Amino acid sequence: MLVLVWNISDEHMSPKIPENLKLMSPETIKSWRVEDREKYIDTVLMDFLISNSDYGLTIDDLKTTTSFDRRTISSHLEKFVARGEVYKERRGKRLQIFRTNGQAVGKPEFVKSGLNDHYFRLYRLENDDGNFVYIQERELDSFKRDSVKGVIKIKDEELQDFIKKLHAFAVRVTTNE
Amino acid sequence: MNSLVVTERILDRNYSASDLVLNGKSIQGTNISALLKSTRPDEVDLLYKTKAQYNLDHVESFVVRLFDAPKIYFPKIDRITNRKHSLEKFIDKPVQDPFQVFLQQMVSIPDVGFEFLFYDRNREKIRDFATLHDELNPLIDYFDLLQKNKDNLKENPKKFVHVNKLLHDTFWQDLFARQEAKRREAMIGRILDYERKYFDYDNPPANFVNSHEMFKFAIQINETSQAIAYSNERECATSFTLHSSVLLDDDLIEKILQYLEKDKTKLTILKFKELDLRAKVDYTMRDNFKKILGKISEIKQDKKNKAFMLLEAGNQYAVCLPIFDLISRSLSMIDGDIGYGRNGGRGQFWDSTKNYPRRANEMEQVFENDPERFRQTNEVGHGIVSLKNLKITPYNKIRRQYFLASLNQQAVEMKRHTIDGTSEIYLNQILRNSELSPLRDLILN
Repeated sequence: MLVLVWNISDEHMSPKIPENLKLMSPETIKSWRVEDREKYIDTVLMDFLISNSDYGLTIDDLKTTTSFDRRTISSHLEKFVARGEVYKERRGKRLQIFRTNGQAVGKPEFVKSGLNDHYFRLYRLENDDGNFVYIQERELDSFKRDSVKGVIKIKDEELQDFIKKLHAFAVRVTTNE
Repeated sequence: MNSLVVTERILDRNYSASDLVLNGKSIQGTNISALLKSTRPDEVDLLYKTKAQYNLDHVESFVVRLFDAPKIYFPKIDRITNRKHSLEKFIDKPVQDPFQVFLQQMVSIPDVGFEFLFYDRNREKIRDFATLHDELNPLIDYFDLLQKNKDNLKENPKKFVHVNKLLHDTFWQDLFARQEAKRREAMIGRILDYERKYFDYDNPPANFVNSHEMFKFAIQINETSQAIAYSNERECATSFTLHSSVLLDDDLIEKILQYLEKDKTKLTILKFKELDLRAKVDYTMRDNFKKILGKISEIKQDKKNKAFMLLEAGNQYAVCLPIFDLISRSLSMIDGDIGYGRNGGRGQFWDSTKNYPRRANEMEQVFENDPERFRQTNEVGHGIVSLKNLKITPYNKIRRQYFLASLNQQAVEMKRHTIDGTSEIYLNQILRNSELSPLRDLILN
């Protein structure tokens, strides 16, 4: 008889704990200012996803390790997915696994956006789907709280074409002005 | 990220000298952090000019109390940021402002100074700072309550001493009650906003510790602050401001030592209030202070990436020089030394042999007795033609620069001796002929 066994390592069974994690109880963070709490949950979840980028994590995994409310985790993960920072993979009917969109390689570069307190971070990203140039638009508020406002991800193969078209577009619109 | 990295640590038995990189800025240990608090003279400006003129290798950091900052520090930062933006837009090139270059090299550390919720001094300044944001309203409510009680006890000021302590402790107890958690955390969050915006490292707005209960609260504020900093990709210190009486409580000292040992943050900031181990012959205090020094030395031997900072080091600065990585002293030496009445506006001048501030007329005489010898003491002394003939304003600037240069020189020498394996001998040399000689029993051996 043929027996199929999922190749799930022990590491997947118990998520890796991020190195610099400062985990606070949900009870404690409940009384924080909304902006502090939201930023904190974002950071904790993202750090867990980065530390477990090889196999990804389920909402249950994150609930067990962080003790955050399931709905809270879910809404933050959906935000990451919408921004393209995290992939959602379906396994079977119910299981959803969340994985970061790859491994950022090297140090990011910073480019001004021209808008006050907005800037771009340029990353090199590598994952199973290939290699990418990954651009995040970020915003610093008046107290230097940094947040991601949007992302663009361009595959290496498409990069030249993208730049060519962007350049042509820029020339056309700026010349018309 | 504003991370702290210990790039090199030279060990000499119990003592050490470390080089650090903090928020991308390289500094040498032991670093002298000037506490800047005055606008007359403008101490931020004075430090900038002193660095430009004399360099002072081990003066690469400074401390500003948060409640002083809106007057002496924030406007300078805001001005260069705004000017830089508008100039860069105009000439379309990055602009280098000399003051900005200075800031890029100097590590700035905030001090929240919440011990002044207990002490009368500086309360008005904290109140002014608290009016900047609604989140800081608990402080205003506290000051109002304090004032009401003070008015009621006008006839009996001695009684107010007890009421003051009671109100201070009750303020924190109330803030740590369940229903007040939101107000407390909002206050912490807002203070950290300011630190993130203007300083290189976050220093938790921890309460003044004068009991076991207050220590528990301070731990909680530290841990919350560290978690908030972490979510903003910042590093945050562990910080305790301790009343000197804590050194009489062996159990509390034991708890503090245990906490310091297990604490995982990279920078620990300590401050002792009302502590002068030179003047007070209390052996329990000295023993416990020595225990703290010993524990820090032990931690630094084991954990290579840990650094320690002492704020308002006072007369303990010399024995702490080979233990702490950053040591802060007020640029104006000791409070109240401006002495506009008694000394005709001429503040105390540092005696680099006695390691103690002396009255202006005494130091003027020391200078007159042997000007050449005086000029050889350090680079600032070298340029003094006559102390007596200096007008008040330049005198008060030079006495600060001279003090800083003296501390810098000792830090330079201490590092050299640590490399040579003779730090204990040098420490003994500093203490032996000075006003600090009673502290020789705090040498670790």
